[in-house]
Amino acid sequence: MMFPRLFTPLTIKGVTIRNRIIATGHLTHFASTDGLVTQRLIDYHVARAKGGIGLIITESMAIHPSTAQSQYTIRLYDRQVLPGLRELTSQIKAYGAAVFCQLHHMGREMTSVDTMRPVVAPSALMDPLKREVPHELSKAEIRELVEAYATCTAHAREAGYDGVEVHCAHGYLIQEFLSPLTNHREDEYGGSFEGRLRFAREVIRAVKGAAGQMVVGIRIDGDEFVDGGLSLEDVQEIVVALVAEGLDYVGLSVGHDLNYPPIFPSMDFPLGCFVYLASAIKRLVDVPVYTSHRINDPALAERILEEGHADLVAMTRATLADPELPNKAKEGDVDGIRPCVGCLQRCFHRLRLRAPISCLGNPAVGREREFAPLPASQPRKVAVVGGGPAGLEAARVLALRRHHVVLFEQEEELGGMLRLAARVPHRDELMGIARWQILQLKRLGVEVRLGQRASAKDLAPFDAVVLATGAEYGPPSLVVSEQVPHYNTLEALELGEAEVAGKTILVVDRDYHNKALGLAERLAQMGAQVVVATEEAEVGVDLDLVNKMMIWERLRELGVKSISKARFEGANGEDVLVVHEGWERVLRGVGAVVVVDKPKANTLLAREMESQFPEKAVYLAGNCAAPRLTPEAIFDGYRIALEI
Amino acid sequence: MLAVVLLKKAVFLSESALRPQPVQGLLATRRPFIGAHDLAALHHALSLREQAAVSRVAAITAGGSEADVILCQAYALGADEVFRVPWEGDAGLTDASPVGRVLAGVLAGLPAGVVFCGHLSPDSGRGLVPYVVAQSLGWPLVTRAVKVQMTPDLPHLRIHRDVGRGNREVVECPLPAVVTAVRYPSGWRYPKCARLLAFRRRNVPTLSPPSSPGMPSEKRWLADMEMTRARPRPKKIFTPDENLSAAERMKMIVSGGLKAKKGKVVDGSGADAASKVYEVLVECGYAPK
Amino acid sequence: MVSVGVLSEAFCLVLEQEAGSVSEASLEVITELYGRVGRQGRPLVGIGCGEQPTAEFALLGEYGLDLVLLFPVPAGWATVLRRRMKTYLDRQWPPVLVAPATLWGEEVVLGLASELDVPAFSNCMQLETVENGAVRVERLFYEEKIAVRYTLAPGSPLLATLAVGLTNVRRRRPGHRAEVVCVPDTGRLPADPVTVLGRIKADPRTMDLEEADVIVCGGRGLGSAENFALLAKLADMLGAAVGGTRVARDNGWITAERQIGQTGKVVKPELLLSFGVSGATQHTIGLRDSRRIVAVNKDKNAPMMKLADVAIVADAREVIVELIRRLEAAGAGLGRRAARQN
Ligand SMILES: Cc1cc2nc3c(=O)[nH]c(=O)nc-3n(C[C@H](O)[C@H](O)[C@H](O)COP(=O)(O)OP(=O)(O)OC[C@H]3O[C@@H](n4cnc5c(N)ncnc54)[C@H](O)[C@@H]3O)c2cc1C
Ligand SMILES: Cc1cc2nc3c(=O)[nH]c(=O)nc-3n(C[C@H](O)[C@H](O)[C@H](O)COP(=O)(O)O)c2cc1C
Ligand code: SF4
Repeated sequence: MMFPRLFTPLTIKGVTIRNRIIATGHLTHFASTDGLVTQRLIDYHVARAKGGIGLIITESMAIHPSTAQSQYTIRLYDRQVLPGLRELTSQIKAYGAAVFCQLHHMGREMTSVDTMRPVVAPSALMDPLKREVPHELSKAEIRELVEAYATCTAHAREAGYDGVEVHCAHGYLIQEFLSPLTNHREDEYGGSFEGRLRFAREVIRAVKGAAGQMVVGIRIDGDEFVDGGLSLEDVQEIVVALVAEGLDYVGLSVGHDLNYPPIFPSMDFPLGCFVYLASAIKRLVDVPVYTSHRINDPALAERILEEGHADLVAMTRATLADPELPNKAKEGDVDGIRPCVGCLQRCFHRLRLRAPISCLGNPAVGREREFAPLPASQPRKVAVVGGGPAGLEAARVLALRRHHVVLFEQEEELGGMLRLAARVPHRDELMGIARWQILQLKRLGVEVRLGQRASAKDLAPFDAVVLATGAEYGPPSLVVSEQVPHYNTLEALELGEAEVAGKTILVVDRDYHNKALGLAERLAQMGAQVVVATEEAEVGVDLDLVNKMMIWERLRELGVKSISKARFEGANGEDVLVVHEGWERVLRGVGAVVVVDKPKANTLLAREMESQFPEKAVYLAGNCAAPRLTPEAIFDGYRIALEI
Repeated sequence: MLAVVLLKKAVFLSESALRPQPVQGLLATRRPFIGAHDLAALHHALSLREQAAVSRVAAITAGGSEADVILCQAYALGADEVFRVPWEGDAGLTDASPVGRVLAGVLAGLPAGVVFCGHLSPDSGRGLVPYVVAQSLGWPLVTRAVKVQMTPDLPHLRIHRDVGRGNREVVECPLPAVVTAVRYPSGWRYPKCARLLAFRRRNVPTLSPPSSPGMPSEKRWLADMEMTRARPRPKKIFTPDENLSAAERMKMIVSGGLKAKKGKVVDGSGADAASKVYEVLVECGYAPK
Repeated sequence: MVSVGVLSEAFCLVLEQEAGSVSEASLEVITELYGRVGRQGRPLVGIGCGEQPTAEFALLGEYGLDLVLLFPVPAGWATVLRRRMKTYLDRQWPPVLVAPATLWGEEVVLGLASELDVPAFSNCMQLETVENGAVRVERLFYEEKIAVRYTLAPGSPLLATLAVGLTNVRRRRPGHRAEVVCVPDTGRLPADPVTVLGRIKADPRTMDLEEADVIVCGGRGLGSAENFALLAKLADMLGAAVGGTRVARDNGWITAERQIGQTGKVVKPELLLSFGVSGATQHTIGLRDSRRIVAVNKDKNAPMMKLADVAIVADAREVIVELIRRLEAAGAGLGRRAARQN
């Protein structure tokens, strides 16, 4: 076996976990709007359990009416959810996985939109991201919450869970008590180390009291990464004290509202970069420890176990992206594993949009039933035109369904526009999804005609045609100054050091995702002075929060400036007049302008087909249907492949 | 000349991963075997015999009669004679040096020209016995042999030692000497069935040191000895310096602990560029000037 | 002569020296001991080989050493150092004497133990002092399944080697300097009967990448299997091992066990030559510990170039061809020949 340690079972207090791969709690938004379990949620987890995962910790559930992450939060305090949960746990267990329940109170890291009650916290200090001033909990209310933890533990037990996990991480209520940054209380629940620990201790005692035979563990941040907050050494002390209360395992995490990105680490974070936190805890305690964050490869997981840093390895998004990861790893089929590339575009970002999660590379997330690729009843000859993510996905799923597929790509290399996307600094991992698709096409034996530009005539012999010809960048949609050269996105990517070093370059964001910021970084790295401007309220408005925070971190260091709500009101040679909310500003010596537009769908071939073969079944996927991003392209490809 | 191989009855614990047990239960799953280093030692001795550098190979183990299984294997693998040195102590956990001295006492009475033993045993792996044997006999010790040959003219051994990173050191050592072996060299030896059967019909002869001095146990140095299930320590792992500020720690993590070096940047065509690389190679001693 | 009091109280550790400097393994042991000793208030003494009290030894104070004793013995001669130490420490034997569990540390510590007839504990996981000041070591038995903790009787000296690769090296006392004392030469010792004839370098083609001293590494920028054949030829001439990125593996230019990075091998060569590698973190974390890096890439802004000691903006293939030509002209191929003797 390729990964012997990964597939050695582990028994925690009578619960045997069949291998070391686990999924940590993750909110899915698959529950109903009144917080009940849906078939969709069950199907989602069953797919993972079937995929061979050792342990699933289901999403964080509200322990009290004063907390709700969104309207789709499961209300564990309400007995109404129990029948659904019972169904969920029994189905997961039927496929051999263990299942734990995460007990959650958000404290001040929430808004009151869903609860319609005041937000509560140990001290009345405003959360910087949610911007609501919380109500300071009274001692009676604290007692009520401790009891709520116990009640919900009893509910979890009734629902058939193997264990419960007390969520002490991510800056939520318990961490707010632990941290001197958020706990300014002067009573016995604050002040000294012991005082700040008291609430956590009481909760764990109450939970242990109600847990019976169930496993009881915690998830905790290994380092707050805020000056004056809890450091790794503080957390070590806390964990040792809490383990003494009889915890059965400790899970490590990181990130909270004062330092947001690490909760959902994007591809800016190296793989496994927070394993050291678990390692530091593992040194001190005898109970099993799990580590998480950006572990997407079984080889890496195996190494973590081999070096003894943890006993269990969370591969949460990795198994979101490919539920079959554990089975494939067990068979040594490493190249068959669809990678999580850490884009956050469809998991985390969709949570922020209050939509159910999905995945950039895996459209079947949350659609396990409808999107199962069943073999076609009638294999047909299908042409796919375009080797970008849309075309690759269509070809892959068509071939899986036993259609005869020919893929046309005019370039000498597959990957389409993703190849350009990966040239933006720190985005090279995006190409990982195309790499995987290409490997699968090879294995499925799909005929790929590289360097062949498909014409309507070429497509005539096929029963069906999928057009995934992408989109194109035309001339810049805006001219800021006649005297200054203007470039579109593609041209800007080709600019060399000689052309940009020492120049002031204005990048205009009309794409609203990461491209303008990414190009700004690239140009600044080559020595340009960059100003990014947008007519919108913010550069990259549609980019998710984590990616945006991470890139700005670097842009600040490179000295990149930005102007939002910008109107270009005139220019005099290289001097450009910009108005921002009534303020006028002259940008002097602008040597070049890059206008990052949305591309235009490349429908040439589609129109040709329509005029020459109006009868033919022609489908449009990805950017050639409408210019969007990679996950939409892949989704189109997958969906269409199922329709044929 | 006689070559002696010191073998240890090592044990492994065959526990099922599904049913972890407390220490005593775990210890009850012991099975005897010969460690890979010990097998390598036997191999070196046998190959010296095949080179006609020694005439006979004797295998010796210390322990009770339960250790005879080890000698049986050694016999089946080709040892000419086998002996057991009766020994009650616990050579694994504590009494490495007393057992070493007892063995040395026995060896002093044999016409041994060279003594081989495994570098470490797989179960306890303290590695002390060969040092004690060599010290007690006053013979030179060569550790970590991977290849052993007799020099053609002198009664010396030429030995390749494994000195890490795949490198070897070649040494020459006068006889008599103690040599420890690491890893099993190429070419497995297989036990011969006929010899296995022959062994059954024999009684294992025992050897005791001429003047049994009653070795004091190592326990006299100890106040306490406690046994638990192992909790292997994690390996070291890149950890940002906690003296840094939170932002700096985060930065170290995001960069993977890689520091951009302010290295020389050279622009150039193939030939120029190659000269620069070549300079570095010369500087580091990997290319001639 | 160091006062008798110091040594008979001290925790001593034997410093391993590699290529002229104190090895990482030794620094680990200092870090590990300093954590323990700091609390007990005992001095921490290093034992090294050298004729001169150099600044390098004094700098070990930053890691926690109080004193360094230098014996006039060439570094690497374990047997000689052992004898010198035995004579010197005879009257003031320190309560704890440890070394890193490396080849060298083992030879010094186990050898001393056999000469002094005291027990030695090799490859210990942990060393600590318990309440009454007694010393306790933990080591693993039975393929790391069982741990045994030995508490030494009062007055028993401890000789041990400590497992390496477990402790993150830390400078806990920035600015602190250790006192360095040279021990006078105490006359001739009998010659070692074992003579060293020479060394054989490992064959880079078959050795594990993680052990290689020189590595040439190729990435996407090399572009083809032919260019990788050229790279292999260069490696052959330098006695270097060939490594590559995941792209190189995907394209079948190298095999899986030659892939460097987080999902491949983690290497630590003395010299790494990188050709046409852009330097994604998944790759570069795997070569973080390389001592010297030369990167050749067409793109000056490739992340790999920022990690290099010498970054060369050029076509990787051209550079390789030219290097081979020069090495041939200079009659190189030394590394290869050495390997072949094997
Ligand atoms: C700088 C940049 C950064 C980006 N960053 C991101 C990001 O961070 N996240 C994200 O989700 N998306 C990003 N994108 C967008 C993403 O690359 C596209 O959304 C995605 O590639 C669209 O996929 P597609 O398959 O629809 O089209 P494409 O990837 O454009 O593929 C179309 C393919 O069809 C081929 N083709 C066209 N006509 C023919 C023909 N007649 N015959 C044969 N072949 C033909 C083309 O050569 C091309 O390979 C970025 C794009 C750019 C330019
Ligand atoms: C969509 C999504 C929802 C999440 N919800 C939770 C949650 O409810 N509770 C929790 O502890 N962590 C939550 N997390 C964090 C994950 O548990 C995990 O720590 C994070 O994804 C990093 O690990 P990974 O790289 O293995 O995915 C969530 C992550 C994602 C992507
Ligand atoms: S959407 Fe992106 S980050 Fe989320 S699981 Fe899928 S690949 Fe990973």
